[in-house]
Parts: sequence; structure tokens; C-alpha cells
Amino acid sequence: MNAEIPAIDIQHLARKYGRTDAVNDLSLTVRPGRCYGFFGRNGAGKTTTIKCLLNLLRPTSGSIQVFGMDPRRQEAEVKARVCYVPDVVAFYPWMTVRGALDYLASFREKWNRETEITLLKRFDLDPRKSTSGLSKGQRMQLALIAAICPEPELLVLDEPTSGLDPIVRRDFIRTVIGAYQAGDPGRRTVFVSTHLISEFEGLIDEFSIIEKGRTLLALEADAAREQFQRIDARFALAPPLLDDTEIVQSKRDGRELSLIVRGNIEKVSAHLRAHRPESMNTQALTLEEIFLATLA
Amino acid sequence: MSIRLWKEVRALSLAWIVALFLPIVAMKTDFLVQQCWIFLCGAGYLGLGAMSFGYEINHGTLPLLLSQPVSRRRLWLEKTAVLAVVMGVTFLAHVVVCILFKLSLVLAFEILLAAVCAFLVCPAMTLIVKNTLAAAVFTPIVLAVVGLGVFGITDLLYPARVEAMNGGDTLVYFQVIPAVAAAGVIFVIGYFIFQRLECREFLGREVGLAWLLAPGRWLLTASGPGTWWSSLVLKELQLHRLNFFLAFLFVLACLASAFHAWLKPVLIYGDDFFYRMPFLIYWAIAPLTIGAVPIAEERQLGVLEWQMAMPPARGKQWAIKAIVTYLVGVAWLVILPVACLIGLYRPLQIPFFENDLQVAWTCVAALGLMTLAFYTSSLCATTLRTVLVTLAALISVSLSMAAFFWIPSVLDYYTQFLWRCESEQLLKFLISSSPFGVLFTISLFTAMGIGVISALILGLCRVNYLANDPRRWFVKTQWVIVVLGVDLLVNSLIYFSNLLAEFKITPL
Repeated sequence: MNAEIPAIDIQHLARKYGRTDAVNDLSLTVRPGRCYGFFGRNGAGKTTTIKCLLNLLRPTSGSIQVFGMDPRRQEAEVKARVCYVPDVVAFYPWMTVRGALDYLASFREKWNRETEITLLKRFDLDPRKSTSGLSKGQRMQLALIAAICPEPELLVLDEPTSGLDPIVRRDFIRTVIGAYQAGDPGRRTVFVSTHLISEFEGLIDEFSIIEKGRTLLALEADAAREQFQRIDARFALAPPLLDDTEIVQSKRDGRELSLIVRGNIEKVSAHLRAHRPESMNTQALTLEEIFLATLA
Repeated sequence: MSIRLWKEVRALSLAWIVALFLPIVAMKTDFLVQQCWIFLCGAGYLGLGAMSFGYEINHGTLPLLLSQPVSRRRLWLEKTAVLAVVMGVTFLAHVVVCILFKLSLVLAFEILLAAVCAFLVCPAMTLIVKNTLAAAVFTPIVLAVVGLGVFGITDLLYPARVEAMNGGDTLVYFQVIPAVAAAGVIFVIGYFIFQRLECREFLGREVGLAWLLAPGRWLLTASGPGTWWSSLVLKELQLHRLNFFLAFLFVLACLASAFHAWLKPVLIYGDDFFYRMPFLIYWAIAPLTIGAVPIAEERQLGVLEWQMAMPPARGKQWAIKAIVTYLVGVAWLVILPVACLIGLYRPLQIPFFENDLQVAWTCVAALGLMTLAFYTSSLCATTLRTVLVTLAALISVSLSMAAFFWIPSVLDYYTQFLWRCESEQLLKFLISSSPFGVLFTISLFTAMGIGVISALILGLCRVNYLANDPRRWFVKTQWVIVVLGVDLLVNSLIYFSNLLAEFKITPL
């Protein structure tokens, strides 16, 4: 496969619901083999964007390409290379876990039975149990198994850890997603929309933060950690007011000052040192902190 | 069979059972007349057609299905092919019944027509309105509008030509052919709608006219901030928005019929059926939808448990639900049709039922059917399922009648006992030939029977609602109680009418 073709290429995507702009001029590109985080507040347009990727919603304007193909015109070909886990999972109530997996396997040319057996054991799902008797978290687990077993080139996850208990969540993210990508490095792409950014911290290679249907920030994770830093300083008297443009967020708590800085850290540090703080330290931000600072 | 095709068949299973077996079983009971049998068959085909895509909508599996690597054209072909096979098997079974019971083959043709129209229109209608019950209800309405509209307009423009044709040709050329042609067009539209179908967060579509509720909203909030009961009443009325819309369509149909009669001073053969159609369709559909909506719609929307977690006691919530349902039922099933009859049909001397008693009994029967549907909605997850199960309950009643032939003999013994006791004079007065005596006696026994059975059914409905998830053994027991109760009522009415005939008491 030509590695230059992006797994996802969205250009100036717009989608309206009546008069409301759910997505407004959104652009992003996901390279193959990456784990891409798609972050935003509730109602930012994440699910709408994901549904447009799979032709579950039609864009009002803009273009979407998945592996260089148009999801509207080449729907079946696109979906053959993509597996999707929606935020709200529903199965046919009369099917058992086994029946649901067999049914979904019937759509796929490839289905890894060993992975299926391993994941069923790991999630402790009884194949004979009816899907109507599964809890919300168990339905999500089943949907995740059904998405991973075909070993698709692109895994699209919309709030995949919703309803999962903390143990399963950690296990799923670290082991399942990590193992999935490790199975074919460079070819398997994960596109995940989530609020639990901290849980995906170690896996995300690139991310976008969207707000009101627009991209606020799009960076590589490592570059973001270099660009965004927090400076904590303590002063003998009231902390000074700084108006450097690099300061994204500033918090005062008595004599303590906490700054989130993007860009020229040294410049801001020098300004702070000029005011002779009692103590000062700098540390990189997590992706969640970057998300909060960007939207604040 | 491929697992995907099996899944399609499995999704249609409940509707298939109703469509396939219940009309067949009904024929065994000698209870149903032919028109009712056609209605049952048609209802079954409508249920099948609505379930084809409606199942995915009701259970939220549409995104799962549409995100699979298969083209929409293939999905459409699979669903419609399975539907065609299922309907075909059902139709063949009905034809065999026609042959076995020596029924006219014209009946078989009418059933074929119902199957073809349901197959062509119902799936498309489900995708248009995104509501299975509304789709099943609007399908016959749309086809009736097309067929009757073409007939009505042709009758007005070319009355001599229509009068020269016999009734059968009129039916075929001016009603059947236009309706089937319209069904074909709707089928094609449905395919294109499916190609462009989107999976929004809320798939259900608001089917109703919200502005009709505006006066009610004003009345309830005029005194100040809404109380809990006024909020509940308004919410219940809004659940009935489909029924408000049906009533609105019914009034339009009556106005159109009256307008047609006003333009056409001389009524010809077939006109009485033409003018009765709005009432027949409305009285067949509306009781089921009014009864099905109150509980099943909330369950289908996923708000029932959240609503039950609200502060007002469940019993109070149920009481408000029942009161609003009966008020809506009386308004739309009794007052509205009678008002249309008296206000529109009588002045224009449009032929209708033979006498007013038939109208009264039809209204009572409609309310009874609504009660049964209301009870069934307390057990079913969706509104369409409620309608199908209600029809199944009706057939269960007619099935059990043969098993309870001994009840008249018990009543006969009771009557003989009364005849021998000292209240003989009173009894003779009660069943004397005076109009007052007959009216009083009929009213007394009917009210007792209907009142008792209705109270029983409503009581069980309340128990189910409060429990929210009744135990299986209790549900099965209920069915037996309800079927026996309705069967007892009907048997009693039949026996009582035979008793009156024996004493040569003629109706008013």
C-alpha cells in the first residue's frame, strides 16, 4: 500500500443540522499507522465528523477521503478497510454473544478467531449469553471485539471506554489497542474520539482539539508536550502580572503563580526570574492538561 | 441459509406469526366475517412491511448495519427479498385457506392486493416517517387517499361514464390501478431514501401537529406555573400526537366525502362503501394506535424508567395516563365520528349504517379495542408490537370461544333459577317488550359485563405498569385471565341476545 496516502483526509468539512453548524470548516489529516486522538467538548462535532467518515451522515460541504477513496461513492470499499465502534452500541436482542460475532464476521473477508477467543476470555464474556442481557459496558466490550477481530487498516472508535470499569479500561487501552497496532506497525491506524484523554496518553501519536465544529489545535503529541509547559513559581509577595503572548493560562493562588505556556518557554521563564521568585519549576503537560488549557 | 438472511427472517418473526397463523386460525372460529378476515390479513402484511426496516430503527441497530462493508443497494435487496419471500409464503397459506373453506377467489385477489401494496409501500413509509407504527398506519391511508381520490374525481368529472360501468370495473380502474401505481412509485422513492439515509442521534421523527396541542397547553398553564399533574397531562397529550394527526386526517377525509356528495346529488352503486371508507379505516386503526401509544411509546423512546423515577407516585402517573387515554379515546373514537356523521353526512343524506344502534355498538367496540391495546402496551416494548399482540389477543379470544360453550349453559341454569324465584314479576318486567324495559336490561347487562371486564383489564394494566417488568409466569397468567374475561363477556352478550330473541324481544 502506498504509505503516502493518508488514512483520513478531511478538508473544510461542514455539516449543518437545520441552522446549527455541527461542523464548520474542519480539516485534519491522519497518516497511516498512527494513533490519532480526536478531542473536544460535548457537542463539539466529534461524532458528526466520525459519522461523515463512514457515510452515516452526508457533509453539507467539504471533502472526505479515507485511504484516498470517497466514502459516499466507494462506500463498501472504504468500509472493508474500516471498523467502527459507535458511542451508543446496540445489538439484535435475540442474538447471543457468539451469534452477534458470527453475524458481524459474515460481513468480513478476514476474521481472527484466535484474537476473538483471547479477547472473550480477557473481557470475561460468556459466548452463550444473550446480548439483551449484557450491561452497557459489556456491549461496548463486545463491539470492541467485533471491531478488532477483522484486523482492519483503520479502527474508528467513538468513546470506546464509555461504560468500561477502570480495570478493563486500562487493560483495553494499553494491551488491546496497543497490541492491535503492534500487530502490523505502520499499517494499522487508530482514530479515537474520547473524553478520557489521560487514559490514552501513552498511545496517542497525534491529536486534534475541536470546538464548535472547528479545529482549535492539531499537533503531534511529542511536539505538543514540548510546546506546552507549565511553570509553577512562588513569590515572597504577590505574583507579578505578565502579558506575554506565550501565556495560555494563568492562575494565582496567594503567593503562588501557575502559568501554562506555549512556545518560547525561555522568554517567559526569564521574565519570571526577573521578579525573583522564591522557587520556580517547569514541567511538561499531559495531553489532558493541554486540552483543558486550550479550551479554557 | 446465510446468517444475514436468517437475521432478516428472525427480525420479521413476530409479525410473520401474526400475519401467517392468526387469520388462518380465525377462519376456524366461524366468528369472523369476510371483511374482518381481509382486515386481519392486511394488518399482518402491514406489520411485516413495517418491521422490515422498522426493526433496525426501533432497536438502534441501523448504524451497526450501515457501517458494515456492504453496499446499501445490497442491503436493500436482501431486506426486500426476504420480505417478498415471507409475504409470498404467507399469501400462499391464505390462498390455501380460501380453497379449503371454499371462499371466493376474489377474496384471494384482494389479499394479494393487500400484500403487494404493503410490500411496496410499508418499507418506504418506514424510512420516510422513521416510526414503525406510523408507517403501518399511513400506508393504508395513503393508498386509500389515492384510490378514493381518483375515483371521487373521476366520478365528478365523468359521472355518466362511471355510472355506465359496473361496480367491479369501477373498483379496478379507478381505485386499484391508481393505488398500485402509487405504491410502485413509493417503493422506488423508498430505495432512493435508503441510499441517502443518515444516522442522526434521534432517528424517530415527530409525526403529529404540535399546534393542535396549543390550546391544551394554554389551558393547563393559564393559572400559573405548571403543576406536576398538568405537566404529566400535557406530556400524555403529546404522546398522542400521532392520534391527533390521524383525527385531523379523518376529518379531512369526511369533509372530502361530504364535498363529493354535495357535488353529486344522485348516489350510485358503491357510493355507500365509498363514503363509509373513512369511518371504517379510522375505527379500525385509531383504537389500536390510541391504546398502543401511552406506555409502549415511552418504553420505545427509552424514557419510561426515567419518568417512573420522578417524584409523583407510579400509581398517580398511571392514573393520569389512563384518564388522558380514555378522554382522547372518547373524543376521537366517539364524539368526533358521531359529530362528523351528524354534522356532515346526515344533512347530505349520505348512506351509512342501518340504524343508530349499530353506530353506538361500533363506538363501544372501538373503546373496547382501545382498552385491550392499552393493556397490551403495558407488556410490549414498541408500539407496533403492541398492535400485533393486540390482534393476536383478539384471535385468542375467538379461539377460546369454542372451548367455553358451557358458559351459556351455566347462564341458562341461572336464568331458570331466577325464573323460579319470587322476583319473577320483576324479571318479566325487565325483559318485557316495552322499549324502556329492553333498553334498561340491555344497558344493565352490557354495562356490567363491559364495565367488569374493562376494570379487570385496566387493573392488570396498572399492575404491569407499576411493576415495569412483571414476572413471566404472571404475564402468562394474565393472558389467560384476559382472554377468558373477554371471552366470557362476548359469550354472555351472545347468550343474552339469544335469550331476548327467545322471548321475541325486538331491538329498538
